[in-house]
Amino acid sequence: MDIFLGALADTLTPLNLLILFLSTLVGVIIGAIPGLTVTLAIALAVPLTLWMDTAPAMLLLLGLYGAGIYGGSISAVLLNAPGTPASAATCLDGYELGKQGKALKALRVALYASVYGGLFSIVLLVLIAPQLAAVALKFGPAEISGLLIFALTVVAVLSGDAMLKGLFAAALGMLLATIGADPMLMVPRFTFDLYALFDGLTYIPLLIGLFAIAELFAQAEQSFRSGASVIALGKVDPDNDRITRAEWRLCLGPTVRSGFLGSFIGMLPGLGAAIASFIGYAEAKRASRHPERFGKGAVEGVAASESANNAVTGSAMIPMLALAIPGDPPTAILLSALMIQGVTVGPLIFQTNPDVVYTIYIIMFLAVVMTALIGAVALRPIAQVLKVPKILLYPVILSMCVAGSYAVRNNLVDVFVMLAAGILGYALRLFGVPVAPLLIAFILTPPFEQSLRQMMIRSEGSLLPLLTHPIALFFLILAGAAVVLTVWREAKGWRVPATA
Amino acid sequence: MQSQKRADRIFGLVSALLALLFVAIAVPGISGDWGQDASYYTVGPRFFPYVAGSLLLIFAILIALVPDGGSRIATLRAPGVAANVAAAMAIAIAYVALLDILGFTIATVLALIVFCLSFGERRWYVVLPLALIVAVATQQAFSELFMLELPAGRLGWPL
Repeated sequence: MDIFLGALADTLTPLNLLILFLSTLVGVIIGAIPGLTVTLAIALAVPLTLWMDTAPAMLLLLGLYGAGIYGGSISAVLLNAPGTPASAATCLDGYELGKQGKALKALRVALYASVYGGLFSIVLLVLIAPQLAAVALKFGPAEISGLLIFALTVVAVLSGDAMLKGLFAAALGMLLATIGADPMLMVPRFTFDLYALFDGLTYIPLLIGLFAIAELFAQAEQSFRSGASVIALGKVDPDNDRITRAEWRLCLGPTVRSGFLGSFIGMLPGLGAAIASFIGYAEAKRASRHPERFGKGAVEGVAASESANNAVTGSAMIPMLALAIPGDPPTAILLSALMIQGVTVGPLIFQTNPDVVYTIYIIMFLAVVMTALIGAVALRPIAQVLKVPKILLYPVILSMCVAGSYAVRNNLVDVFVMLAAGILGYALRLFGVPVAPLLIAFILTPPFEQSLRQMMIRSEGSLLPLLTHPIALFFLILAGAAVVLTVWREAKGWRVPATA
Repeated sequence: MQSQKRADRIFGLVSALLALLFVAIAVPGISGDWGQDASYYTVGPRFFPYVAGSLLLIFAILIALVPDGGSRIATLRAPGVAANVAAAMAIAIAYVALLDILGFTIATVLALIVFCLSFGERRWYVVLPLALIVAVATQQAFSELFMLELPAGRLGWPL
């Protein structure tokens, strides 16, 4: 209890609350602008955390994370273009409501559902993460290797449209992670005698390049034109803006069910908020007495999509905190930000850094509350941001990318790494290769290599412990099942939307 | 669809060739001298690069053999699209290359002006203040607020 109160006192300082307010506001705005994703926002913010303590650093990043996904609903309703892929399903009914003059109602439903989804997933995070960590504490090198093989496989096969390309991306991420000194014997690998590469490729320039710079090149294809017209939030119209009692009742069931579904999906590596929102939406339509209303302006469709995608935020933190396995790019970046702070994430964090765990719980809760306040008060001015031309936004982002990449180690090599990663990320997009598995494999490879080699040293070069240790074997079977299911899914022609 | 599959095949083959070069030439180039002692068994620094390179090779070959047609390379054939992307890349590369010489502030002002002009924003009263404000504000925020250095260039700040 003392640790919790200490974390609460450390978090609730005026400066920290200001950081939370600003990060949440910026998160909603960036989330609302199509093309600027939550991942990009967090990637750009990580360099700013270098000078911060853990609490303000997490306030900045988790504020962006929590608010960004809600922000995506604003452009989904007003532009018919989701600000983040996570809000793609919100377009289906949100934009229809907007065309009917009920944009504010749609945005309010999105806000309330987002708040519910976010809070529900935080409760699950608090309840499940310590239990999962307690189990993981019993893992040896073989079990950890099995778990990481499972995580890498699932992320690779579920992150995009094509399984082979996901696996290819994960293998490429593993290969890039081998650059730098060997983690056990410190022998340099592929460093080309550059001292800056001895520590390997730095996370921040790599992820800024893969997400922000690659997005900039993709936007250049259309000369940074949006081509969409924005639905204006007109004068206050109580009849159209107010959520009626009947609409509350319509939304209740889908919101609760989607919160549960989104939380479950968030816990699984590789799926992410975009898939959660579509599954939540599809389930709401399936369970509805009037499925024909979906796609024509059903408020419950908006509620289901937004509850599901926001429920991913808290539950995706469960494997990240308890097992050090990020489920999607935003949590991968949060993991690397915690590493920069000197915090070792994984099962031991609940014993070695319980203050950090409590701080994260508190911040995630505060971020949801702040998002609710900003969404309730500042929707109209935020909606104006959608009118800012992209040609003025992206050059600013380019300069932020350069500054952020350089500032990590005061090294120009990192800026070139960012640029190369941007070109690589754009090329991969062109060929339909998902980038998320690459980043997550890059982050998971060092612990994977270490545990696999420790296991093999103990077994004198044999991989048999992966089959003789029951837990490791269990994870291998799960990984195999994920591959088989995906092959079956692709054979049936089902498509899954790519994660952010 | 056929052209998309052909693009996938070419992507797979080129990637397979690069992965093969990695496995055959780059990995054996890692030093084999890591002070190993015959009295205990260890797994050397080449092991994991071999694993990663081999997996990359296998998946690249499979992409070439079983293309899914998900490539969108054809979008570059539309008029002006490839030129736009090439221009954005050229500006980004020039910007990064100039950082070491001109420093962050001047390189950023130049890059932002060229960027806006190249992509159709020709209003000087918008472009010039934007470039100046962004460059100076970012430089000041990083150095004064976040205590992080940005490249000063060979000319040195403020030049």
